[in-house]
Amino acid sequence: MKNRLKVLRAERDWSQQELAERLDVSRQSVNAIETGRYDPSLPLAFRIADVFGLAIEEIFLREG
Amino acid sequence: MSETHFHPMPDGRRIAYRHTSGSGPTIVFLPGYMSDMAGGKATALFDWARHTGRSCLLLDYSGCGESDGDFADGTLSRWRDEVLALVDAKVNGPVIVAGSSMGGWLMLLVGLALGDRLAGMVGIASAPDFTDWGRSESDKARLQAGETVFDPNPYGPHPTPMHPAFFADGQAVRQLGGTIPIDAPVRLLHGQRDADVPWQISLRLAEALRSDAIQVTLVKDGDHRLSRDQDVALLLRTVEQLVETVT
Repeated sequence: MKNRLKVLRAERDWSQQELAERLDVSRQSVNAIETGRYDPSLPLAFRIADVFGLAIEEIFLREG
Repeated sequence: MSETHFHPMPDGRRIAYRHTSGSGPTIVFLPGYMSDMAGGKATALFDWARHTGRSCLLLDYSGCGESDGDFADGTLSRWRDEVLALVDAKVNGPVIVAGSSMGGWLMLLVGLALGDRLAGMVGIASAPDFTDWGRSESDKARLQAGETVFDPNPYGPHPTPMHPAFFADGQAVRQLGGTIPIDAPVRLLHGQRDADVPWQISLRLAEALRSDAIQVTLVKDGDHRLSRDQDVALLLRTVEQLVETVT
């Protein structure tokens, strides 16, 4: 699933590690979500939305 | 991270890499299992190389990070061939291979293949043969029967898989059972609070390598990642001194 995680992270000048710590996941997980290798669970998607202060659909993009 | 490039393998799969050119040997960093080149140690090495005018090559293995491919197809032999293809295509002259965790196993396979081009190696919590000492007999039986085994991943959204192809290949390229015919200088770093790879593995690796120019550094309060500021500083110092030794 496409997402704007990398851009949003860059806007805040956070490293993958910093975002990972905010989400309580591994840095590799952040990388894998950013590169679209796997989709986060719904609870994690909500945590991501909370961290950025955005709605889920402002971060994750509907396919096609 | 704007300077990520892609190198096509013969079958078309594209390997993501970052390269900075400078003087002296090229430092090639090999990430750990299911990791990628955006990690703290890889990034610190790359930035250090760029600021000091050294050469450095980072890459994502196929199935990881920004590279093409499926992780389920990944094996040490496949990833070794990707590293060698990139070194062939992008690097001139001698190479220092640095590897973290599984990357510290892969660096041995890459080092053996590089022959005279290998100027040195730096292992960080090196994990050679972890398909062997890291799996229970029942896991091994399941993997041998073609099953994928999952480990709980307390920090990630998914459990960590080990696929049967990775296991079979890993068992076939174990290194600790005999002498590893590498004579280049080697530095091994290991945290003694490493919960994933026992630090004794680095001592066994030092023993197995044929080279006499080996130094092992144990960090008593270091964990598996060795990514704290002081650990990264130790890594950079170690690489810098090794570069000076071999040039």
